[in-house]
Parts: sequence; C-alpha cells; structure tokens
Amino acid sequence: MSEKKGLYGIWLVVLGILILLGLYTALKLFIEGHGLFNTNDVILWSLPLGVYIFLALTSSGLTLLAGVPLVLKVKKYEPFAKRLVFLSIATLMGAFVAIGLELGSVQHMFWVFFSPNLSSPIWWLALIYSVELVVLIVKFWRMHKGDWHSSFSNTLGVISFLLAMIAPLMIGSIFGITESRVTYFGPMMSIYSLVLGLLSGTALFLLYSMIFHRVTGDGDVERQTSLYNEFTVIFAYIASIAVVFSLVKFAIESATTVPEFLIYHKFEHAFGAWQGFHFEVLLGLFLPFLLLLIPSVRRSVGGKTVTSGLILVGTLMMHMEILLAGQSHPVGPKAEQYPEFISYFPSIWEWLVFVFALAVMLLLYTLGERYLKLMEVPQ
Amino acid sequence: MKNEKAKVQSSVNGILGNFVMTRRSFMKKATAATGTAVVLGGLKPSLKALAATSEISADEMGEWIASTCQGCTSWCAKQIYVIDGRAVKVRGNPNSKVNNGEGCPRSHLGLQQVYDPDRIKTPMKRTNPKKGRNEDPKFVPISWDEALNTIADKIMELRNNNETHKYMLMRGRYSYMRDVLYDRMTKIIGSPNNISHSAICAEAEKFGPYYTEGYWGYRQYDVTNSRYVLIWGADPVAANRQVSYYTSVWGDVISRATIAVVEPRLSATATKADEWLPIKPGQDGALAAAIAHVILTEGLWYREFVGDFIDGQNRFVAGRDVIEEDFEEKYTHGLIKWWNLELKDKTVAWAAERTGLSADQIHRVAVEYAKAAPHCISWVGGGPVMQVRGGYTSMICHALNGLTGGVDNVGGTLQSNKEYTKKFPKPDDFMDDIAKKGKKHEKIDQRGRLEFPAIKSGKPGSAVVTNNAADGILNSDPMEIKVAIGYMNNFAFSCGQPERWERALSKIPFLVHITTNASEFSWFSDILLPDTHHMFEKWGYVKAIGNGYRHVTLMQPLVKPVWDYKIDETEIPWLIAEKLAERGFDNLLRHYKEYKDPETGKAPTNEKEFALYALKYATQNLWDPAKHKGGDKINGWKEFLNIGVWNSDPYPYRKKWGNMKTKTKKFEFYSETLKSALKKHAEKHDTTVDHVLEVCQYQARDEKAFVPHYEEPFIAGDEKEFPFIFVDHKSRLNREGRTPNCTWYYEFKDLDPGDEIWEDVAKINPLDAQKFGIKSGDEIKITSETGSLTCKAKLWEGVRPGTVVKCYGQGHWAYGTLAAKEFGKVPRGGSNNDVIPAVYDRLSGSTVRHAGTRVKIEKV
Amino acid sequence: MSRYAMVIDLQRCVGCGSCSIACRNENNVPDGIYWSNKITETVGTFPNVRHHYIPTLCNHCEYAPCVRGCPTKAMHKLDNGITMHDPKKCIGCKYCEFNCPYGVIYFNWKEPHQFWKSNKVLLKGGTSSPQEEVEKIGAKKTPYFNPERGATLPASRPKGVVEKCTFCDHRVRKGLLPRCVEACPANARIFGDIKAPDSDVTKLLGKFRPFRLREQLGTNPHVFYVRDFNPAQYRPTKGGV
Repeated sequence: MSEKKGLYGIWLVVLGILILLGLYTALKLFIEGHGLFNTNDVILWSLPLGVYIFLALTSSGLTLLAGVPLVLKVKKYEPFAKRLVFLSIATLMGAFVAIGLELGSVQHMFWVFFSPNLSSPIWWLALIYSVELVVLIVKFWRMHKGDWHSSFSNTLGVISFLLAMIAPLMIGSIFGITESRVTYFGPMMSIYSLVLGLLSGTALFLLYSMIFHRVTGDGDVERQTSLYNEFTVIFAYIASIAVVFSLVKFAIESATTVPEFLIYHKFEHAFGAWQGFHFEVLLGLFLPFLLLLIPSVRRSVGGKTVTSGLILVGTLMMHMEILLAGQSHPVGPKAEQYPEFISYFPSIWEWLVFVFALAVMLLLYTLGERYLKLMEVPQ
Repeated sequence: MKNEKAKVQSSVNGILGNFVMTRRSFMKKATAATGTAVVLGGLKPSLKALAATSEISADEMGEWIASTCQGCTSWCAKQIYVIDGRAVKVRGNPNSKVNNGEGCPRSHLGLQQVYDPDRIKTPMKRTNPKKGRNEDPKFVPISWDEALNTIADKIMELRNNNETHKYMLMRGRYSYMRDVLYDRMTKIIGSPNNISHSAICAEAEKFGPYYTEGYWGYRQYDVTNSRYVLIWGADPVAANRQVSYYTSVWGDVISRATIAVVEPRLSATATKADEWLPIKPGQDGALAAAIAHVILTEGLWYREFVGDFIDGQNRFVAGRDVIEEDFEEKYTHGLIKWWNLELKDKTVAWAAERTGLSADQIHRVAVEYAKAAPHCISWVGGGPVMQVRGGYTSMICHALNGLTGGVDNVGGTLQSNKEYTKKFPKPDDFMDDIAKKGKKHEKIDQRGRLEFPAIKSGKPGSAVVTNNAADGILNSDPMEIKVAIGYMNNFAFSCGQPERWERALSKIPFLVHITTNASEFSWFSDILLPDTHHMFEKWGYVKAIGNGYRHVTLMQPLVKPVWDYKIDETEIPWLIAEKLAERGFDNLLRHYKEYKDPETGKAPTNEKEFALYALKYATQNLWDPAKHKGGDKINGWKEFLNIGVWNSDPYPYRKKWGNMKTKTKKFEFYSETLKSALKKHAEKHDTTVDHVLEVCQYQARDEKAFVPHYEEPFIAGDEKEFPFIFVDHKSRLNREGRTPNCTWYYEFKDLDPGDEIWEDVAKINPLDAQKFGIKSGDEIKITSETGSLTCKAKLWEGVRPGTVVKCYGQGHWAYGTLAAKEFGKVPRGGSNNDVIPAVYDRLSGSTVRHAGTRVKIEKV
Repeated sequence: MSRYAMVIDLQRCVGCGSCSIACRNENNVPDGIYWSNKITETVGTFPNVRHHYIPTLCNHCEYAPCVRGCPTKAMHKLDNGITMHDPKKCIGCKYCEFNCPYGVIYFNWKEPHQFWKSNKVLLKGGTSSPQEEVEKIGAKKTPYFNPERGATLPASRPKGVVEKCTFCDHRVRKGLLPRCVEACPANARIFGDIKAPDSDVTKLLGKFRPFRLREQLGTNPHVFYVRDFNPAQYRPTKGGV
C-alpha cells in the first residue's frame, strides 16, 4: 500500500512539473508570440488546435454517453454516469487549456460576449462550450449532492446532452462552411465530428476505466464485467460508423480530380500520412475495429485497453490529419511566398501545449477520482 | 581651436536650419495662396473626382520635398514625404515631364538605404596595416579632423615629391557636381588619373549611335508614337533607363506597337511583348544583319530618309553586289558599301543557324518592323553590346534605325534635348607647374594604347577603361599609385574578375573610400569617410531624357542627418582643400572660392555654403529669369528648389537629318567617322587599322571595319568543359548593387520574373537541369575559367537551353549585416562578377558582362 | 454612401510591384506580411513562354467569409464597403485567415519589425545598431515609420492579431487615393465609387468584361480585373491537322 502511495506521490509530482512547464510555456507564448509554433500563414492551425478539437469532441462524446443513463434513463449504466460527467468536465478543461494557448490574444476574449457575431460558428462554439462547462459542473454538483433525478437536475442533464450534440456539429461547420477549402467536405464534416467525438469519448472512458482498474486494483471492472462488455459492443458500433465514414472519405478523395485533393495526396506529415497511405486510419481505426470484431478481444481487459488506446490515439491523429491536409497548400498569392505544399511537424512549444492540456486533464482525473466518489450511484 | 571649430559647425547648422525653415514656410504659403489648384495639379484625375466629393483635410503630418532618385541611371525626379525631418515615403515628382510623376519599385528602397544601420556614421581608419581579402582591416572611429589631416598630409607628400601623378580618383555613382572632385581637384593636385565607372556601365551602347549618327549618349525612344519597338537586350519596364516613363506608357504602347524583345532570358519587358526572340548569347549581330538583309532585298527601306535606286528598281538580291552609282542616297551615307561588304550574304537562313531562332520568326520580325517605318525603333540595350566585339553589334543594331528612317523621327529613336546648365570655373589658372607636369602622364587605365583604342566621340584614348585600371595599378604601369580616393564606387564587387581589384587595392599604400556602407572596396581602404545619401542628404543635380524632354532635377538635404555624414562631391573636397591650404597649398581652395553664390555674389566660406553655391552656380541659367535660355521658366532659386525640376522644350523632330555630327553629316552606314578615328589610332601607334583590329580581337579587316557588321561572339571557355553560356541581368530592385542590405529587396525579389524571395537563384532551363540532375532549390556551384560562385538552382522555362541566367546584385561578402552571410568573410548568394572574366570591347573600352564566358554547374 | 471598388487593368500593369512595396511603406507592414501581393505564373514551354502577373489585395468582398466567421466582429464591413479589422477586438483565432479564399490575411506570429529591435552593431563605434538608429531618428518601430496610418488602425499591429489591406481607409477618408493606386507607375489601378454612375471605376466596368478572383464562391469581390497582362498580337491562323 505504501508503494502505491509512493507512486501516487510521484505521479502528482510529475503532473505538477508538467503543469509548471505548461505555465512556463503559456508565459513564453504570451511574451514572444506564436512564432514559437511551427506554424506560418499557410499552416496556421496546428497541434494545439487539433488537441482542442480532439479534447472538446471527446468531452462531448463523454457527455453524450452520460446522457444514456441520465437523459435516456437506461438505469443499468448509472454506475458510469458520474464518472462520465466528471471526465467530460476535466477533458473540456484540457480543451480550454489548448485553445487558450492557441489564441493570439486571449486577453480580448471578453469581446466574444460584448461583440457577438451570430453568423460565426466559432462564436457559437465558444458560447456552447462555456455554457456546457457550467451546466456540467452544476449537474455534477447536483449528482455529488445526491440529486440525480430532480427536475432541475434532469433539465441540466437534457441541456448538457443537447449541447453535446450541437457542439460537434458546430466544430464541423467551422471547417464545413469554409467554401474555399474543399477538402473539408462541407456539411459532412459536422457529422464526421459527431461520430469521432462519440468514438473518442467512448474510447477514453473505456481506456480510463481499464487503466484505473489496473492502477488501483479496484474490483469495479470485475463487478461490472457484463456492463463493460456491453459498452465495448457500443464502442464497436460507433467505430463501425467511423469506418464507413472513412471509407466514403477515401473513396471521394481518391476519385476526385479537384486540385486541392491531388496536393493532399502528396502531403506527408507526422500524423500518419505517408506515401499516400493514411496509417493513422489504418492503425488507429481499421485495425482496432477488426480486433473488436473478435469476441475474445472484446471481452478481455487487455483487448479493451489496446483497442480503446489505439482508437483514442488514432482519433487525435485523424483530427490532425484532416486539419492539416486542408491547409497543406497556400491559398492564392501565398503561393508566391510558400512552396506548393508544406509539411508540418510540431515545435517543442506545441508539444508542450499538448502536454499542458493533458496534464491538467489528468490532474483533474486524479483528484476527482480521489475525492469525488465517481462510482457513486443514486440511492 | 576645438571650440572655434564647434562654433563654426553650429552656426553653419544654424544657417542651414534657418534656410530649410524659410523654404518650408514659403512652400506652405505658396500652397495656401494658390489654393487647391496647386494641390490638385499634381494629383491623378481619379483623385480629383474623389477630392471633389470629400474634402481634403489638413491633417497631413508632413510635406513633400523635391529630390532625385539615382537608384538606376533613369535619374527620376522625386518627392520625399518628410515628417519632422524624417523621410517617410517616396513618390514621383509630378513637375517632371520626363517621368510625369511616376515612380518605380526600387525608388522606395531608398528609405531602407538612408536609414540603414550599417551605414558608417563617422570617419574610420584601418588599424591592421596588412591588406587583403582575408585581413580584417580592424577599422576604428576617428574624427573628421584626423581623417582630413591624414589625407591632406598624404597629398602634400606627393606634391612635395613631385609625383602628383601617383594620385588617383575613382568615381562611382555621381551627380553633375562631380567635376568639383573628379575633375578640378584631380587636375589642380596634378594627376591624370581620374577614373570613372562609365565603362562598366554601358559605353558600348553609345558606340553604335556615335559611329552612325554622331551622337555619344543614351537615346530616348518615342514609344507612344511608335508602331514597332524592336528591343535588343534592354528591359525598359524593369531596369535602366527611364523605367518610370516607359512603365507609365507601356500598356498603351503595346496596343499601338508591336513589341519584340531579343534576349536569351524572358525579361520583364519580354513578358509584355508580342515577340520574344530568345537568341543565343552573342549572336545579336547576326539577327540584325539578317533583318537589314530582308529590309533591303524586299524593298522595305524608308526611301524618304535613305533614298532609292535611280531607276526605282530594287537591285538588292541575295549574294549579288550592287553598283554604288545606281543608288542615290538622301540622308544616309554608304548603303551600297554596307550591302556589298556585309549584308548581301546575310540571309535569314544564315542567321537562323547562328541565332537559334526560327527563320520564320526572323523574317516575320524583319518585315513587320520595316513596314512600320519610319515609326519604328531599334532599341540597343546593354545586353548585345557589353560583349567582346560588342561595339560593332552596337553599330549594326542601331544602323537599322537608319534603314527605317526611325532616327531622330516621330515614333523612333531620339537624341537628347538641349539644356542650359553651366560648367564650373576652369581650373587652368590654379594648376601650377607640378600640376601641369603631373597631368601630362599617361592614365592608369592605359587607355589609348594600341590594345585599348577606347575611342569615345571619335577621339582615340578618350574613353575610360575602368576595369583595366586594376591591372594598371597591379603592374605599376604606367605608374605606381600611392594615394587614391574612391567615392560611391565598389570596383571590388562591381567589376568583372574582382579578385584583381582586391589585389590592386591592397597594393595602394594609402586608399580613401567615401562611402555610405563599408563595402568590398572599403575592406582594402585606409580611411573611410561617411557619405551622404544622394536622395535625402545631398546637394546636387542630374540631367536625364525621356518622353521627348530633358529634365534637370535637383537633390537636396531634406532629412535631419542621423550621423555626421558629408557630401562626397562638394563638402569633402572643400574640407580637403582647406587642409591643403593650411599646409601651404591653397590653389584648390582659391579655385573653389570662385564658385560664388549667383544671388549674392558671395564666395563660400565653408563646406556647407560651398555645396549650395556650387549647385546654384551650375544651375543658374535654369532658375534665374534674367538668364533664361529655354525650357521651363522658373522664377528664382527658391521656386526651383520647391519645384525641384526644370524641363526642356519638347523634342524637335528631324532637325538632325542631314545635320548629324558625323564626318559626312549623314547617317553613316559606311562610317567615315569610325574610319578616321581608327586611322588616327593606328597612326598614333605607327601601324595599320588591320593590325589594331587584330590586337583588339576583332575579326573585321580592310573596309569591313568601317561598316556595321556581324562578328562572331568571343566567349571564354571550352564548350565541352563549360557547357553553359552565362547570362547576367539586372533587377527591378537593384539600386546599383546596393540594395542587398535592405529587407525589402529580399521580400520582393520575385518581382524579377523567375527569381525567388530571400534567395539568390541561377535560372536553368528544365531540359538542361534534367540532363545534369539538378532540381529547384539545389545548392549549386557555377564555375568559369576565372572564378566561381555558389547559389541556388531554379528551373525555369524562361531560359534558353544552353544558358544559365542569373541576376546581378547579390553575393556581397561585405557591405552590411544582411548583404553578406558573414561580414568580411562569406557572401550571401553569389556575385556574377566572380565568374565573368575581365575582358573588353576594346573599341569603346567597355567591360564585358554579357556573353563573356561559358560556365559549368555542379551540385554542392 | 460610396461603395469603394478597384479596377486593375492588367494590360497597363507591368508587374513591377511598386504597389506592394509602397503598401509596405504606407501601412508599416512588417516583413513576411503582404497586404498587397500578386499571383504569378510562367506559362508554356521554351521558346513559347510568357510570365503572367495578377496583382492581388483584399477584395473587400460584399459577402466576406472573413467577416462572417469572425467571432467578435473584429473583422467587419464599413458602410463604404471596406472590409475593416479592429485589432482591439481580435482574439487571434485566425479563422478569418483560414476562411479567406484569397489568401490576403496574415497573422502577426511575432512582435512586428523585429529587425529594428536588434542591438547588434556591424562595426564597433563605426556603425549603429538598428535599435540605436530608430531611437536616434526619433521614430517608432522603423526609421521610416508612417504615423498617419495610425488614424484608423494601430499604426503597427501587435503580435497575436491578424492584419490585411484596408483600401487605405485612412487616406480615402482624407480624399487621398489608396497608396498602391498612387504609387502604381503604370496607372494600372483605378479606384472609386462603384455606385456613382460617372466614376472611372463604373465607366471601366461597363466598357470591358471584368473578371474577379474565385467568383463562383459568391463572395462578390470588389477588386475587378480588366484586359490581359499580355495582349500579344499574332498572325491569324486556322491551325492545321
């Protein structure tokens, strides 16, 4: 037990160091600006934004999952509900860290409220996630106080569920309504975001539970084996939708002769695309999906861990890939200044933003798990 | 003593300050008095419409003050927007009829030059006595006093030792105040050695016009009235001369005229031309000969100028001689001789074989060009003529203007208009015996020797052979150079095979450089003097032609100087003269005191007054209403300073027909003028013209030497070892070679078609690149017999296969933080001159920069 | 109210870039950022080659994607049609830059004009550092800094916000033409009120068949192009088989 305590201390120290490092990064970015990123006026949205999208969508996915017991009232999933809501909050906080350090002038953020632009998906996104965070926190507080099913608590649940449905559509439309960048597939991008959000949310929860179980030795997983197995089936279903989407996307990409797509084929970067193959999709989606089709894999803890882990990383990579591919070629006169297509690898500072977001998220997980009785169910 | 000096200094500043103030208040009053008319007069029509609807508010923070840009030799009249003594913007001076208020991209870069932090801000001296490319001079700052004392001592040493001829003055970019320093000071000290940069510029361009129509000077081209513009290696919408004017009308010219550009690379002008003739370098003469051949055999010459066969029957048949008596010429001389000696065999097929152009295109261009006669232009640029044997190419290309009657004609090629500036007082009375004796020596560039006829304006040995001065110094032939001053020149960068200059300058025991930046030339100097920037800090004037006008445009100190710079051509020689007088030799100072203020009759008492009075003196006929001789009438000096430019009367067409300054007064297809000049040179050396030609590497013998003709190109390097011919060109953004220390230069470098931002690229045709396995972006080494350079490769279709094309300008290893990759050591990019050998068109003395060498390319 | 627009006559344009350099100068635009720019293309194979040049700048679209997407209305339309940016409201999300189909918006990744902040000296005692030079001249940011730009926009934009062409709104309001128009030595740029029936802009647009960049996106750009960069003549031909 003392060994565990020691490990726990080390874990907290490690997270503390990472957060200090993150704060230093924030300071550095604040002083020197985003020239520290490996970005330019062609690739202007990079790893921090990809991390934001990934974490925000994951948070939405988690909220949607929480809606199964809380909104759709599928009682048997109630043991997951509180943890799902908490993870969603913590993950969203991570997302906020990432986006906060991505914005050039975060100090101007208050204008979002004083000078709103209703035609801007980013404005809606900022609004939705701000409200979502508040709603989730209140909902969590109600649950923590044992109030799961009062009409107030229920209303909160419904609102958070609806917001979690709209938010991915909004993220998708940030890209989808950019008519000038055809590789973002227009409206399809919104549905794709929703699917990927669900997928990564599910994967995160599954992975988290498995690791939590492994680390703490908590008997929960054994107690809820059938529930987890069922959950894994849902996971496989969501993965199958993502697979279909990816196949359709591949089909369109390879059949079209639109120049942006042709450049996109030549595009190689650190997130899996290499020699025209999308390894992030092959290894991060197709492979775990195939594994999930095997019953024994679905049933084993190891199988759950590996598939959810692969998919979680795969989803981040897929977000990065689609984000970067749409920016891989300079628009209009920027082609005078920049090469025909640009490759990208994150700078140390971008990695540090990623690490900072993760550290905040993990610290919240750790503390929440320790103090907030996340396995609670209503009396 | 010191206090006194400071007092003088401050009172001088006081005078200047007051003066500037009065002028400004005057300008404000003038604007107010004449109301909106003045304001609107300079604005473009569409603005007038705008201004009519919305009122012009008075909150402009500064004012526009007239000056002149010498970034290239267009010499455009400018206005500088000055806020609190700080230059903020540049625009064309609307008062000029030459550039009509228009500018060009390079003019704006002047702002980054005048405020270049790498400008030297104080005199400096060398503390490392060893000189050489690898010797850091270890410059340390010194006072003006110390610098001037040292210079005066060195000059006095020469005078005391009776060896004043060992003094040398090297001139770079100049204004017409030049003679104060370049001519008068050199003469009064007593040396023949005032060496200008002209021969590395484009003297061969003037050679053709002189030996056909008797005009030694750059032409202006009446493009708006023209129907066919045939351009040989010039790039008027990008570089030199009257870029602003030609740019302003080109869109209309291309509607009315057919434009054909002869050049191995797709120039900026070729991008806006009807015909691009990507000729093999050095073969321009063949094309010109074929065009002349077509014009004659197809009867397309302009009879009102050239005349006709007596019986009206065209006897020009390929391969057949014509009897001279059968043809009656009007304003030309020697057409039949030209045909018999040169043109009769120069068929289109013959030219197609040499030039690499299609026979169809040659024929088409020749016929359409001639059919536009007389409103057509054969425009000779530096490309085909700054070559070994380029003098004759200059002649044959320009001679086409004779066949079409385009010379001195509407829509053709024009000479310069009259202007009325005054020469400075004569130096003769101030040259003592030492000076007179010293001046009699042969010049250091060896002009006039058998192998350097350098026959400017018909006088052998009258043209400078700039680049050969290095060999003169190195070999102490005809004399050793002991004391030398260079100003706004950078021969260790701007001349072909500059390594010779590095050694030559190292050999001079005492070298002074008057310069804005510590350049390659400065590296070998003992004393550096910080120069003013011509556009913002200098008193001076220049003359330029274009648009059928000539303007004389002023430059004036219009910004608060950031550091202690002094004007190269006036203030510095005055200060030296003062120091010489202190040492008992006051001839120069006494001479300078002759430059009296025409308004007050006062003699100058210090360098600031001298600079101003000298300018007023030289331009008096333009601004003094009592002395008006023609052109714009200007009411006094203040008004001149305000307007900034005087315009001549419009060009009088066809006044020179039958009255040209040739031996025969006619346009000479058989140049009696050249014949006499060459004979004079041969006689001087007691030999024959044929021998002269042989020594000077020309192919012509006998009579052929006197007619415009094709000579095979003389290109260094064996084709097997060096497969490419090196093609040099100029940049839209070059202000001479001085802008590579400006960020805007790199930020906009791709305005030169084919070039890349922040790179120095050699452009290669993709076919050649494939053969040699070279890709865009590869680091390559270009090597000739005489040197090499390193730069990036760029594959580009606008390049003739078999050539490698590179823009001049980059490759500085000094000059500034940005210009050099590592100051004093490693160049940024490569300097074209490092591969171009020091060879000459010896008749004009010109240094070769085109078709001079073959090169090879290797990846590094 | 006027609706400003620009016509660019490609036949008059010689591709010299005076517009872009003068714009840099007028608007204190830092290195790396091009408010005024170009699209060039070398077409053909030797010897049948030409190089073409299309000047570009903010199109001041009627339906501007940058304005639509901006979360704080930092990017907004003025009554006179100018697409304007207010860096005070800009949160630096770069969505306008991402959204602009014309590639004319840039982000200030660093503090601008860094070159002039250096205190390196080339020759000790003999030359000055960029910083010293700026201070001695008494200028801000750059020695040739144009304070007049500051009338409607910070004269130099800070790091962390985007910037782009404003049709020189600070000049237009004073009755002066945009600087690129004034500085164009070829008179290739014609500026004016597209709603006024007798403006030069209106007249030219009625005379030619103008085109605009990426018209199919429906942004309704207000920079129009007329004629061809290279209107070369050629002999009539029917070709052959």
